[in-house]
Amino acid sequence: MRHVLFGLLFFTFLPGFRTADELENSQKCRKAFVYKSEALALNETIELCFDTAGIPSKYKAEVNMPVCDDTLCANVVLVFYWDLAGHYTGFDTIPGKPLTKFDHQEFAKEDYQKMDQILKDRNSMLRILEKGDLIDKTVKMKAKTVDAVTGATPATVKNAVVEGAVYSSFTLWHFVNGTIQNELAAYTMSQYSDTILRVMLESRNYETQLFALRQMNDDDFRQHANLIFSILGHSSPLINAYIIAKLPLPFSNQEINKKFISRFPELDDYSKSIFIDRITGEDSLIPSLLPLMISQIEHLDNRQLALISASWRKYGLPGYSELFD
Amino acid sequence: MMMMKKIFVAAFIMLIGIAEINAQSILIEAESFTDKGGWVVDPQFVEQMGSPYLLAHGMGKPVKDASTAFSVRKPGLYYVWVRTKNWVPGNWDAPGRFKLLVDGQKLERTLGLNPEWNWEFAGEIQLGKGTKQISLQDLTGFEGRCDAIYLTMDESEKIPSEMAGLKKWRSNKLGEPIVPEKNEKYDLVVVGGGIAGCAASIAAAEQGLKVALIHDRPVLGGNASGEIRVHTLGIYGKFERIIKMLDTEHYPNGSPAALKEDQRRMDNVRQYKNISLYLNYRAYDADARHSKINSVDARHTSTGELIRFEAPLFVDCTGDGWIGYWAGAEYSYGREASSKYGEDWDAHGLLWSPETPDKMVMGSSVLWRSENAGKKVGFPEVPWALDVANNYAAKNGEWQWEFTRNDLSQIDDAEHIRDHMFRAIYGSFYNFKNPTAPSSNTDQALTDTPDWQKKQEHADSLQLQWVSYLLGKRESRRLIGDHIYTFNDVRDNTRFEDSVVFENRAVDVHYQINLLDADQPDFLSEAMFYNTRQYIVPYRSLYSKNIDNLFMAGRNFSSSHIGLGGPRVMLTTGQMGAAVGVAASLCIKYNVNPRAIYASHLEEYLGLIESQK
Repeated sequence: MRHVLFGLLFFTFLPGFRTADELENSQKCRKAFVYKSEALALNETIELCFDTAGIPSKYKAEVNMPVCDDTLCANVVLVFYWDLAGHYTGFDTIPGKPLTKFDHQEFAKEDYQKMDQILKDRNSMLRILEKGDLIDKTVKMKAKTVDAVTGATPATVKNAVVEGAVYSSFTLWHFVNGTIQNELAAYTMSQYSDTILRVMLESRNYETQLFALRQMNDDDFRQHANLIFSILGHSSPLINAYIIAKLPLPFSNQEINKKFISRFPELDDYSKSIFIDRITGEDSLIPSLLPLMISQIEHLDNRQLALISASWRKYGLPGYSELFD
Repeated sequence: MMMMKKIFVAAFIMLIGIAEINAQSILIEAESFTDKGGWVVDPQFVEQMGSPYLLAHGMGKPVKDASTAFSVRKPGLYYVWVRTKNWVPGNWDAPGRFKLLVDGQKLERTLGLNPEWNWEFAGEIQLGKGTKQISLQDLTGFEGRCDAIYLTMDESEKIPSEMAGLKKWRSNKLGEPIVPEKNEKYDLVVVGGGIAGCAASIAAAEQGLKVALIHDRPVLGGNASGEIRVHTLGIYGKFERIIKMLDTEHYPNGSPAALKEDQRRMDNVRQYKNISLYLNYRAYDADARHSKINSVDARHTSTGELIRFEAPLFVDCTGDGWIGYWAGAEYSYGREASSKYGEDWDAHGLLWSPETPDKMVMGSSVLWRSENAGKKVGFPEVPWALDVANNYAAKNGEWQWEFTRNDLSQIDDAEHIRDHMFRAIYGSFYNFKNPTAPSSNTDQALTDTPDWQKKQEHADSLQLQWVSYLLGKRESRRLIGDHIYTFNDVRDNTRFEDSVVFENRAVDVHYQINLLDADQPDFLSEAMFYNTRQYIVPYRSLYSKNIDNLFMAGRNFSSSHIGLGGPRVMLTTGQMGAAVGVAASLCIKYNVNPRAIYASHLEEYLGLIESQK
């Protein structure tokens, strides 16, 4: 209930804010497992949450953790969310427990937003930094309210952290992007179903889509061909290309092959290239798939056309001169 | 005399049926012009389009005319053809238009209109006997290009346009010998004067070898040179003294501070009496028989002079692995499947290494910068650039300005890649100069007005100061050695018995940002870093597996795509060069091939390396 109230009061500036209705729904959660980390001094209950249709949608954990080496900052108390593949998706604050910076200054709106961005950046500098890299010990800053000093932030680190909350940024990044991901993913696998597969394939996070695609064998691809075609062309180039490389081509049903070929115009440049490379480069695909490319000729650029025609000639398919000369 | 050498005037008798026509023709290579004005010689794409050419690289301001003299022996009416290219065909005026003036007379047709490299008809002109002047007049400042000019009295002459026929025809017209008549002999021939090639030359010269260093530019340094301006990164390993003669300060990439470093580097290399420096010579062939290279042939990028270099040992520091390629060395290109060498890394998954192999190697960069002119300066309309830049706006470009595509080869499509970067740069700069004003009926327009004006004033005063026209390449062919360096060698911090190159820098592999979102610009990349303890490249990655007397140093050393991610920076490639130079001296001493240094002289070799500090 407190989240509902908090959402209503503060929704304009919190990164993970939801409408009241959504929050209501997001409350349908149940305990999944307990996450323990000695390094982070954590022992936390992780909950799996469901949408209105009762379909698993995300993980949630309310966490109270120390982030500092010294006494200059308060514990972080937040509710974190991850998707079913274990990718961090956002956090909510808890009333009366704002995040604080150096000197106990409370986070401003921009600080919350920046923290959310930092935690979502899987390629953050924080990945390769060690805690010792965070503070330039040669520069000391005098705290106004506490009788202590702390180091300044080196220039190279500044962009990767919320200024004045360097340890929080570092610790939280390693928490939400750390070993917990594997445990969340493992739990999802223990509950795996076609429903979960669909939720993950339709995710807007490419890594979550990839997680689901990696669970699929050739039979799964055949069985879910229509679902796969529905995301092929609407996903990131990386995922589109991955699907094209993994599909068990050709399908025995030529109608399904046609459906596959008809996705070509929807693709991005990278996956188009992988598409052309595959259907012109694999002997077993030439008889059934290459002729279908005739339907796509108007969508081919000169390079693609040259590859198709070269392959057409190489494999002696009929009608070369009428089509390409 | 030089003039006669540079411009070859040929007379030909052609037989057509039984009739004998005595026609005169004159072929002038644009790169041989004695006064290049503001045009620059571009030799980067010789293997694809056939010749170095002149480029009107004016960053939007027409460059000064290039001109040269030529001699007419037979007076009469000449038909004038120019080999050129419209580098961005489309529904706009071709960006690189220019005119030709002969004997002070402007020829009728505007040039630079063909969609591909080909001969364009410039017009006809009556010429008397004697010395005449010919000039190229740039009309746009936007990368017009001229390969050659051909004047013929035969109206119906067919000039070859396809590569093989053109090559033969050109050699014939220029009266080039089939093999170079000039022959030079050295102990070691190093091809490519980037940091690796320079270090190899110095290390070998210090051990007493007579070295030829062949480089296709007027300055040494490759990606570190003032022409490309990437700063050197990495550590010095065992070769601090040598590499410090060649490296750069850690200024921002693209900084003009690179020019000062060029001078220092040139002076340092020139002090070695036994390094013969062949600047502006580009290698074009290697003669190899029975797995051994006998000679490398090179052509001067302006005069066309040919030289054959013979040596018992060669070093391929060309970056694109050309010497190995011509000699038949095994090489790889593209990204291996992560399973091939076990190079996957969960942190970045598919961005790091694909599950199925592809050709999406790291891209090439074109660095650029603008400056405050202190007054309002305009910038031309660039409609031909905007479908690359879209609405991206920028005023300079660092290493992230990088382009690669699965269907483009960093070698065969290099001109397309460079030109794509030109469009990205000119379009983004145009956008920066012409920011879109916030719509006047929004609150934002009211509150943003002072900022908005400031932004416009800042943009108004900017002008392009420098745009490279040379590609700063990261990855293409990787020649295969006895050891293929992979991510496992980094991850495991493998200690080799033939450890010669040492590095601490995080492995850094790039991906194009539009891989994750197709709406993002296709000319920008991001880096993924793998932090690690010291990693080591073994000597066995620095000589060819199947060409017995070929070393390689630099980005074309023996590695996988991911393996290249760490050691590809220039202090590391400098270490490779120096290690190879030292090894070459032992090869000469014992009259053996590179592999024998590992097999039979390793202790002496490592001792010699230790003594380099």
